[in-house]
Amino acid sequence: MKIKAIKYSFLILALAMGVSSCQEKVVNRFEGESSLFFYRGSGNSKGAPQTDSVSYSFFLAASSVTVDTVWVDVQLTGVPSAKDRVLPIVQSNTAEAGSAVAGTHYVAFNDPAFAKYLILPANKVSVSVPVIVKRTAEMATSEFRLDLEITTNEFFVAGIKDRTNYTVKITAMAVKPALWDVANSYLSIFGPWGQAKMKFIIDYVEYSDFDIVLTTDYRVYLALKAKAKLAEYELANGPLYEADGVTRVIFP
Amino acid sequence: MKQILKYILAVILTVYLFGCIKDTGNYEYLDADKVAPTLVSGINDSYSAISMEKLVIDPTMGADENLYDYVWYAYPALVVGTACDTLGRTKKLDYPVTLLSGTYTLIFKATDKINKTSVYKKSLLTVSSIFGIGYYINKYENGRTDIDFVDRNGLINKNILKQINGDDLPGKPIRSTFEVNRFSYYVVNADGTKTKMTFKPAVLVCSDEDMRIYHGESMKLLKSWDEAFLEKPAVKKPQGVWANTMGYMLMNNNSVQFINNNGSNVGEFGYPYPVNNMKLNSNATVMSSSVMVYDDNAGELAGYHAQTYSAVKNAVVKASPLTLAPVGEAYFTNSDLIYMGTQVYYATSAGRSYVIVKNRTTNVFTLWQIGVSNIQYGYIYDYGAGGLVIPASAGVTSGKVFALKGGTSTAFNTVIYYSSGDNKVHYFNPANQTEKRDLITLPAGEEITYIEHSYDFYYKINTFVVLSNKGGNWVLRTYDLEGATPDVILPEKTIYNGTGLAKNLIYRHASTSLTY
Repeated sequence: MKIKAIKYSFLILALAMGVSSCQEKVVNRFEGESSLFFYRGSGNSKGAPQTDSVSYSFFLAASSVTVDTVWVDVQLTGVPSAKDRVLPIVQSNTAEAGSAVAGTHYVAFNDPAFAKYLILPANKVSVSVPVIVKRTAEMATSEFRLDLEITTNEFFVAGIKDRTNYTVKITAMAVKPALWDVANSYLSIFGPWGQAKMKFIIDYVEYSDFDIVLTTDYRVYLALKAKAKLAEYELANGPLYEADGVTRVIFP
Repeated sequence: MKQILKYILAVILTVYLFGCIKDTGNYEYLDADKVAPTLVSGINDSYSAISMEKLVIDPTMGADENLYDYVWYAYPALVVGTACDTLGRTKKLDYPVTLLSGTYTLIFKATDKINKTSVYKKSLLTVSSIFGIGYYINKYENGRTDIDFVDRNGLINKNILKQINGDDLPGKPIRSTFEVNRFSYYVVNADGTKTKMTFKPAVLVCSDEDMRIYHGESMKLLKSWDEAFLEKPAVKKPQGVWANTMGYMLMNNNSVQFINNNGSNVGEFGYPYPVNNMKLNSNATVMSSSVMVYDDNAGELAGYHAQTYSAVKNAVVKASPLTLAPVGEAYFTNSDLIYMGTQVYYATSAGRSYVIVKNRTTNVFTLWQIGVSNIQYGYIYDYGAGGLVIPASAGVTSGKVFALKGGTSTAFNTVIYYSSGDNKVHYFNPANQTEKRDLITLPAGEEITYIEHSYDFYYKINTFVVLSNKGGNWVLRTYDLEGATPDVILPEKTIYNGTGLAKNLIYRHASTSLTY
């Protein structure tokens, strides 16, 4: 009796497998609602690193430059739409001290002329949004913070929790480049960062692109040139100090 | 259920019982010599091949050659785990050499078609281009610097820079240098993109008006002066080029610049190193990643290391053998440089550097042995000789061209060949303070411009060369040496003639890594 039961069990199992293998596989399609998040990685669509914040400084630009653009990539979770959709991006720190003022430090997102940029185009899954920053006199000594937040609207629900905020810091002071302390990078060439040192590098070493990773020979080239130019400078002007008057600008 | 268990138990017991039966086998052990193929002759221990020329090897088998399958293959001798290239599948290798230049292990394998036993023969195969072996003679003719190349067959290829590139260098030759695999550069593709070429051989040629960089295999121009710098110098006044294991060094307008090969580079000289009020003599010696130069202002030695951004001036008597820490104080200054050169040992290594100086105050000549490679530690080390006084009467003190006998690295166990620029070669033996005069006497009227002991301990290179000029033409003579002695066998072994005034030469053999 037991042997029979085992035999029938095997038979039923085989039949079940055979039947199920003939069944057409149904692929589940994503039918959820769309949401947005800020891209995070070493290179956005403009080739710039985009982590949780970016510092923009007019320090590196010619003094005649009063307006510039910081590009921020926004990406879609969900399916592309056949029509354009408005991006629900707002400034979230308007009430805080040191916050950037819309219309003063950057072109307001509700500016009619800006509306065309706050759009996720039809059939697209990402878009690069321009943050148009504006130079003011007070930026020579201050930094202003623009906290961006992706909210919701009729097209988008809340997105990935830790990817819906991004900060743009705007100033005209020297800002420590993001790659400065990376291994085998600017720290190894120029030593600890400082504003006066940064200005010296731009003005005398004639180097200003701090967003690229340098090859060994170019690092050696910059290190030697910085030391030589500083020696020439000190011969003519004496030692160079940071704003605190104590920290002397030196290169390792 | 019990029934099933009984069957399983029975099967297991059966297997165990059969496992105890002694396996008597049905093998027949035979002597390997009787069943394996045997190779009688026809394959040497080493071969030297030229790119695109035929490499033919026809071994003799110990039995009917039709009994075996054959394969020839090669792999880089010094690189572990790289793929093999099959060069042929017949007994006779008839291979148009397409391997890249380098040293390979060449394997011949014959396998018995029936019993599948094999015989192997391993050889060393060195592949190089036509420019891989020969003399590069730097010469001056019609106001230009070019190279006459004496190839391995003794054929003189005139003006190879102009012949290959349509142009040579302006000015008078200073020197040239070769390094086998440290040069990198970009090539621009048809679509405008760039491809980086890495670890290529390069020949750098320097005249008093220009410096250019050529591919070490083809001698095609890689970089002209305008393309050879990360930042082109404001003043163009070249004084010489040198290669070492960590970079190429250019001396220009009283400063040195390196192409730093430690890591990625694009084959362009960097920023000039600080000079610190020195006046750099145009002589330099190299070893490992360091270069020793001479400051004509202070009358003393100085050093540079490719990755140390300042000149090393701290000369010490010696280094502690245990800690490498400096011992003693600076040994000489205020002296004029008479001679500075590096003793060649083998393809990738040199022995010590020798320096002869004359004190500006006392007029005493002294000889020093320097460990140039130790400059990387921040000091210029003398090897404890402390400066051997050379009598002013010794001819070496008035020499114009010099050469060190290659090979040994023990203290003063060498001789310094020299010529005063006439038609004679002599040598000075520092170990016993004796000189051998008139070692070589060329025909009257010839003026010796360069001498060299071309030496490689491992690859058995051991030739003395004398380069001279007469009537606007150059003459190159080579001599064998008498065993391990510094004496040469007369008359010369070979003699080559060319047009133009020779300055110096570099000798490159198949395994040369860099020239000193």
